[in-house]
Parts: sequence; structure tokens; C-alpha cells
Amino acid sequence: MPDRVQKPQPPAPAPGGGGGGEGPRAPEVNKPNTEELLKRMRRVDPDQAKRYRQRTGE
Amino acid sequence: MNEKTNNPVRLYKNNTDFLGHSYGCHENYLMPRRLAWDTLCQGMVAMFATRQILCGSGKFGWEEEDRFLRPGFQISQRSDFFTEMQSVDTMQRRPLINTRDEPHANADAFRRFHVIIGDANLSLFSHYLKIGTTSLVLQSMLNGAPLERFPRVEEPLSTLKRISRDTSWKWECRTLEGHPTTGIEIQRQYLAIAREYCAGEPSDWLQVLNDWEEALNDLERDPMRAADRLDWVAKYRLLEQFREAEGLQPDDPWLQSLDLSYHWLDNEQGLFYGLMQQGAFRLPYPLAEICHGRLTPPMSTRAAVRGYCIERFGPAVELTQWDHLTLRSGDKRIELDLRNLFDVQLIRQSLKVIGAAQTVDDLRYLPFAKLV
Repeated sequence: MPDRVQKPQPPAPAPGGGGGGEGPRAPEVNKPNTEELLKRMRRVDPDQAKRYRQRTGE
Repeated sequence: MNEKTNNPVRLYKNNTDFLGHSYGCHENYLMPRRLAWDTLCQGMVAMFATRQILCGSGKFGWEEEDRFLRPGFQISQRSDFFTEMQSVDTMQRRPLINTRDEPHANADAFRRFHVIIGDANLSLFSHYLKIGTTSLVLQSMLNGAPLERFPRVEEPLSTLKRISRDTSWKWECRTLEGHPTTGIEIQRQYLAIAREYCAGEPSDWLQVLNDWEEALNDLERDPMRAADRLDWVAKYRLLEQFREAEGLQPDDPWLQSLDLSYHWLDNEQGLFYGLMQQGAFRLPYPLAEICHGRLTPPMSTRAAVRGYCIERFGPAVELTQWDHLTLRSGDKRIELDLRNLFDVQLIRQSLKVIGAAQTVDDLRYLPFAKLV
């Protein structure tokens, strides 16, 4: 199993939206702003999936 | 924008078009051949039948090969499409265990364990659990866990579908001996094996064990507790909220369009990204480290050696593949044979040699280099 401990430290600061810091994870999880998301969902075309076609692939 | 049709191009990371056309998200694990193929297969079948409770991406629709069956939620995108236990196929009559064996390493010593049953995850935590738990189970086998310790399920193919489509979240099934069990219990058995046989692995892997256990505990108590980590839970909860708010029936086709939008790779429109932007997902590692890892391989892998050679001497590279690299040095060529380069100490020494090299010619001092 590969040893992943000695990785170089990331040079860039954390992009916005979570993460960052020195800990192993980003434990702070917000409850989603449901209203904002519902607005985004209402913009979804109800027939979008009907127009979506793909070929079987690997 | 497609210049010919003037239509916008949309990218989705998913596994189905809801009409029975599926495309995979394959995983590849390099395995020493000393582990017998039959042992590997027998030990992994129940893992593949049940790990979807952790790493399924969720789907509003039931399908089978080449057709839509009916509306309804299930936890996996891919589980509808597996009808065989073992074969080399990937596009039809798909097998639970795929036999494609094309290792990107010395084929005498290694095999490729080619896994075609995983869902394409958006949640980085789901992805981490998918790869992490599977790696740990495989490592347990390599560390000597006896086959008889591994769980076995009755009728794995029908178990796979039944678990995926079970919205009671009980995921009941039977052992090979016919005893009642559950998907969670099977996963706990794998977890116990991994805890015992991977206890000496580096701390990153011990963290996977803890995260695996936490996810199983949450799934057992109330799956919605895992909405901050698992794709299928996040998608289900979000779409159920929308369905209730809009008064939609469970079979409303709008749900499939919303399902599709969860997978839309668009920061402004995609529903997964909407959740991410609100900080609704936990991450397995800080985001900066994840982003860094996209372009920087772990320093303990041959990918680092390959990448560092290209970074230092890119203009001299004539040819590169997973397992070899050819560089021009004057009127000669230096071939780097990476097929057996898995020893961490050797990799670290090699990185030092590459870093100290003044010219391409200095790479000939690498122990896997050949001047031709």
C-alpha cells in the first residue's frame, strides 16, 4: 500500500468554500440554504432528462 | 458551445441516461500475482454487492440493460446493469468481477484488478470511501487475512439490485449459508477484517477505517445523518425536499431531470455544486490538498518519478507511458523502465537523483535506466 504520509505541502491557499487549515479534514459542515437551492432546482427544465441520451460506454 | 449546431455543451459526471445506457467509472488496483485470483474474487464479491450503501450516487429510476423499467429511487446508478458473475465484458452483460488483466507494471509480478461496478461520485467523501475501503479490503488479503473470514452473500447479483432498490434502508440479504444479514452487517465484517489486518498501515489508512465505521454507524441509525458525506443520501434528501415543496408525485419525471442536474459539472447550475458552495459536504482532506493532488502525485509513487523527469527535462522526453520513459541525450537515448518501481525508498532516492541531475545524461545513474 503506498505511503501517503510524506506528501509535499500544498503551496496555494485554500480556495473558498471549505477545507484549508492544518487538520486532516474540514469538519465544519453547514446546513444547506434550502431556499437558495430550491430556486436553483426550480430553474431545471423538467424535460431535461427526456432529451438526455447517451451511448453505452466502458 | 458546439460551433456546428450552436447548442451549448453540457458535461455530466454520471453513469446512466435513464434509458438503460450506462457508462462506467472504473477503478484499477495493482495486485501482486501471489494472491490467487480465486481468493481475490471470492473475497470481493460481497464487498461489491454492498459497498454501494457508502458510495452509490443515487438514481431516480430503475433500469436494465437497454431500457427504462419504472420510476423510483435507488442508491446506486450502476447496480441495474450487472447480470454476470465474472467475464471480460464491460459494455453488455456486465460482470460483478471483471477479468481484464492489463497491469501497468511487470505483468509477471502484478495483475490489474479492474473494477467496473463503481458509481461516478461527485462527493469527494464518497469517492474517498469507495477507493479507501476497497483498497483496505484488498490490502487485508495481501496481509494474510484468510478467505474464510470474508463475508459471502447468497445470489450476489440479485442481492446487488435488491440492496440498491431498498428504500427501507434495511438492505436485508442472506449469507451464502442462508442466514439473514444486512448490507451494513456485511460491511462491518469487512471493516473488522481491515482493522485487524491493516492495523500497521500509515495513519491515512487508519483514518479511512474510522470514517468507514462512522458512516456505517450513521447509516444504521438514520441514513440522512450521512447527507454531509454520501452522494446518494445528499441527492435523495435534496430532491425529497424539493418534491415536498412542489407537491410532486414520486414518479414525476422532473425528478430525473433534477437527478441529472445533480451531476451537471457547472458551478452555477449543478446541484452538487450548489450544495458544495453552501458548505454542506464534509471533505476527506482540506480542499487545498485535494486540488494540489490533482496535479502532484504522491512522492512515494513512480508517477512522481515520471512527472519529475518531465518537469526537469521535458524537452528531452521522446516517449512516455505508464511504465516507461525515453529521453534523448545527445545522440543516445536513456530508457527508464518503471515496471517494477514500487519500492518507496528506491523512489525517494530516485527523486533525489533526478533533482540533482544537471543534464539529462545524469539520469543514467538511476538504477532502472538503460543507455541505448
